[in-house]
Amino acid sequence: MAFMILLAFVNGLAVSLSRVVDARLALARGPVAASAVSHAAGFLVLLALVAAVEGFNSAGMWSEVPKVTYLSGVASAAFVFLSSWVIPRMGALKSILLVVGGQMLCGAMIDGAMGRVQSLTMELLGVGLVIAGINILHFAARRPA
Amino acid sequence: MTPWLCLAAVVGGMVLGLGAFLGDPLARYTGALWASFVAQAVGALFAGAAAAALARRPQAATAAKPPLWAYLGGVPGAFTIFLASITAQSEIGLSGTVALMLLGQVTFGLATDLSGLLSMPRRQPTMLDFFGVLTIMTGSAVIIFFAG
Repeated sequence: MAFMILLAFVNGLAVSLSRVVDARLALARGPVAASAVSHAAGFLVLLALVAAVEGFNSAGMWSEVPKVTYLSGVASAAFVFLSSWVIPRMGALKSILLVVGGQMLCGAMIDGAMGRVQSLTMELLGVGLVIAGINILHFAARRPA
Repeated sequence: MTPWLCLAAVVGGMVLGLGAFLGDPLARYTGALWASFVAQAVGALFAGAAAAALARRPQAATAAKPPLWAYLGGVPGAFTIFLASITAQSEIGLSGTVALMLLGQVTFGLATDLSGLLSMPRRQPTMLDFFGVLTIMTGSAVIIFFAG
């Protein structure tokens, strides 16, 4: 239990580490090239991981996979363009929180559309707080420090 | 500029959420590792094509040479979905995983701003910044633990 808590927390640290390093590359090479390099590096790591953990003859179900699911990679690339552009200009903390806010709003909309919401009251309360927080950060960013 | 930066970050988060939704069937058919592998491959091709298309135009962003480590951002990111799938199947569950990852992300972001690590500009968050951060985290916790 304690190990899993630590692992999930460290995974979160690694998410932000990845985004800040990508942003550093974007400062020198531009966000689009940074996204390409980041995904190429991730691809090489996963090539090794898939080979080590799954083995390459493990692919049996591919014909059943809906094609639209491959677009998740395009979304991932587009995300790195945006985050690498924003992070150096607005700071890591605020950028990361605004991304989390967008993720939560998108997830709430998808859950709503799929009928997966358990408590509409809580969902609306959470969404309201997230929108309020986004506006506070926006307001804070507009004021000269 | 500021409104565009905020909008870009929020839209980025939405794109990420959409990507997770789109990638979900892939992970169910093939497992988390194959799904991340395919997403990284497609992302590399797409971003590589976009970078090649843009490279013909004169680019403003060719400042100083970046340090070598700046090319390795994709390495920690490659483990994200795989590790999340492990912790989500443990006793902390999906909600615990998402909440702890959120805490980890915020911790690293705060450390980056305070210390200027990885050659990012050092920034001291204001009280108002912290208020906004806490509001988003509270809203996220409500959604993660009580709505889904």
